[in-house]
Amino acid sequence: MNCNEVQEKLDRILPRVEKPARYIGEEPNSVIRAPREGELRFAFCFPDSYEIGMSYLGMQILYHGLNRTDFCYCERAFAPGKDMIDEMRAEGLPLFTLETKTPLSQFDMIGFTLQYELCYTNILLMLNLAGIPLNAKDRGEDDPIIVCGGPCAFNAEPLADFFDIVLVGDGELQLKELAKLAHQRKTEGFSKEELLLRACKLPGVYIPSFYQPQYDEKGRYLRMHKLHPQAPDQVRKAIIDDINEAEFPEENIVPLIEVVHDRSVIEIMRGCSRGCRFCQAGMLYRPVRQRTPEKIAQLAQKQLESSGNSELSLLSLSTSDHTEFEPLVLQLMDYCGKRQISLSLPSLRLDNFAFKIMDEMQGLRKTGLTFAPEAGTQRLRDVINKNITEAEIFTALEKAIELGWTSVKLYFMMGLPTETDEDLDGIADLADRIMKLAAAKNQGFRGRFSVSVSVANFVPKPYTPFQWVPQNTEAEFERKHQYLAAKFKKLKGVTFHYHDSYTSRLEAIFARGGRECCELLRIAYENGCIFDAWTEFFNRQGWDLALQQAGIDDSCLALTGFAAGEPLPWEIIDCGVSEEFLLREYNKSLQAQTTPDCRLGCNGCGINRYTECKWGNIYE
Amino acid sequence: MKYISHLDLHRLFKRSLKKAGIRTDYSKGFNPHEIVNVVQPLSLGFESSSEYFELETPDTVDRAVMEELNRSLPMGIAFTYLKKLPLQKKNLSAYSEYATYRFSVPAQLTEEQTRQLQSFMDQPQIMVLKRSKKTKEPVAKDVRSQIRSFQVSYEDGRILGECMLRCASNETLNPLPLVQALCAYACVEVCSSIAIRRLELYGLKDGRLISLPEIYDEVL
Ligand code: SF4
Repeated sequence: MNCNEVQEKLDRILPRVEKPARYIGEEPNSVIRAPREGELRFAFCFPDSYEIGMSYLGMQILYHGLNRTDFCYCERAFAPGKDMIDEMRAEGLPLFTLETKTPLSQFDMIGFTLQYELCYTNILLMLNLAGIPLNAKDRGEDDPIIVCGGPCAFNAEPLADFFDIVLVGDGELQLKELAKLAHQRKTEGFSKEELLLRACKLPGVYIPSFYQPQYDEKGRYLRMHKLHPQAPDQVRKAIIDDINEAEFPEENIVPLIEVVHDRSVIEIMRGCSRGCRFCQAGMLYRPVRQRTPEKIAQLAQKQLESSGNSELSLLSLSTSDHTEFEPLVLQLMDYCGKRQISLSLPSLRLDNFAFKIMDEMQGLRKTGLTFAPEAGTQRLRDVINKNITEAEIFTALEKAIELGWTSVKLYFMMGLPTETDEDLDGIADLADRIMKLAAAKNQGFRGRFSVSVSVANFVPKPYTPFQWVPQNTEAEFERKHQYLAAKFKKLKGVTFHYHDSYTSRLEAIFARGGRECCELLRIAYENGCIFDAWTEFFNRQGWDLALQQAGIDDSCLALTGFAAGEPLPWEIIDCGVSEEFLLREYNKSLQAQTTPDCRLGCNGCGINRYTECKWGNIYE
Repeated sequence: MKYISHLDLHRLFKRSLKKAGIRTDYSKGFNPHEIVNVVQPLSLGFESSSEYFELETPDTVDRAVMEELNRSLPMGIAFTYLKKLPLQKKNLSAYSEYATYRFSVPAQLTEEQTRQLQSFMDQPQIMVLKRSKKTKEPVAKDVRSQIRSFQVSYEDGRILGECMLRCASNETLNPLPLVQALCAYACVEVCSSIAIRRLELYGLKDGRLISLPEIYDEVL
């Protein structure tokens, strides 16, 4: 099918679907041109809706990076809405890119970003809608090469059957190098096998088909057996030493319709040194690297000018940790203030400076202050190494109430290692004491203050000190939810939210699972499961059946955990942080011993074996 | 650009203003917002050859600025005409009374059906499905009085027509259900999409129709 035929079919379908602008492209700053003879055609796929995908910064970075080369044209595709899927199937319209309306099957290379486990079925959906065979082994020389990257690619075993190439680590340079190889193949005409062979020598490139996992008779993972002598024994993540040198888009694509985040975003630093033991990003993105304030200001200005956005947001895992945070924020506030642009500073530590700037920010509504204590007692916060104390929370809150804030949101997790009911009591107790403080401060203004408590179910992730621990069972989660709900019922002015435990279990299965999960995923997709992260679309029956058919139940290792020292299904990837460090951290956690921030002294995580870590000891 | 909702259009305009460095005045109050207004927003899926966008700004907006704005708007949307309005309380939407539309429906008609089309307006009542404001359920309503003019013909496998319908802040007739009612009346099955384009918005002065941008010259 050619582009004109796609457009014709599209014209017939669009009047009938919800939010048709999701499928038309044409956004300012998108790259729309006639493809050039011989260039590599790359389709960047986001396995969720247009609105979610367009809010994701990584896509903008890689899209513009590829389009700036002289050998590659990168276009985009997203998972279509349910109504659109039905229309496309009825009309025989294959999945196409927004830019040139080319069917995906005609591309040389297709890249998926893996941001969360619950989007995995959408990958199969998109391949299927494109008419591309799901299994890598069923695809021939002329089919597109299917690639993935992103945080979940660090354990891509549950997707290993479907991808030709997995990219781990910083993607900016790596993806370009891979695209260059693919372009060479196109010009020189070498085989797919040869492409994979050459690719596996690049940093952070993992070729699943070059390895085969071996299991013992009970089905426990034993080791990776290398099928190809030239494949590396372990694949080390790609690292960009200095992110000031890395590419960053200045002219972002501006969606025509409202998306989740309609704003300019500048990544001010990558990595985090606080060492929270549950946090996968904190381990995967080491070492901490920061952009210079000059670079940040320049990027912000360019992005705002080219998009006309009215909001600027700074991205990092812990914004306030940037060494020049205060002058940077003052400078940006000044710039934005003059132009009616609001500045948002997520993951801000609520210290005096934070309150000072929040007070100065124009038109800021004083609702929705957020804290993430993550655990209800100091003991458990020590176990998870979340260094926020109750004293800190209460000092900040007292100040906030004085300044007229009227609500606060608290984020917690349940099912953390060593957790007891006492820790759950601590959650309710904290909310209760906050309400009491507010009542004492706001005398005469009953009901002026509200607290919202949100409790997520803990999902143990690979490459964290908790990668070995069991996840709570569904029954445990349910009991804890009810236990807490009963406590919160008695608290006036406090709302309590919790997450569905079924999907948290699935997340754990795909986060720590091995290749046996490929089968599960395929069956789930065949059973009609897609958009699993969307409560309204979640198909529990389909998943129940798939788990049964794939023979995966509560006894699987991804749920029950691993013994320390036992081989782990994802060990083929070296994330830079050493297993000894993770184990040391795990053992310390069991003693409720904390590990201080690296700035007070290097903790020996091992990342500096591969790159210079400039962050350790800077406060010494 | 017919697939952009009016809220999205609004956002697009605001962006291009921001890019061009045009400040939009903020309303005072608890939740300050900018005073920019898409006049009588069009339904999703309709085309239009005249849309109006109103804004309050302390900056000068001249032809050069207009061209700059157009450079940052996506293909298919452009400012074509610029007019300075006196500062006042009522916005332009408040003067709108009628809108003209052109429609086209691909269909194969018999002679009988073609004749039937012509007698559509002879009905004493014209029933159209309208969504009830309260229950959101479609209910049949007589809209005869909201149709100021209506012509229809059948040419080359298409039902073509033009009409002038109420388009005021308190009462609006959407042309789509009207055209659907027409097709149902003539027993025409619509298999492909109905194309509708808005041509112009009108206000009234002493019973005279005046196109919207001229209305201020008359009323003030
Ligand atoms: S090398 Fe040392 S300072 Fe750097 S991230 Fe690892 S533990 Fe922290």
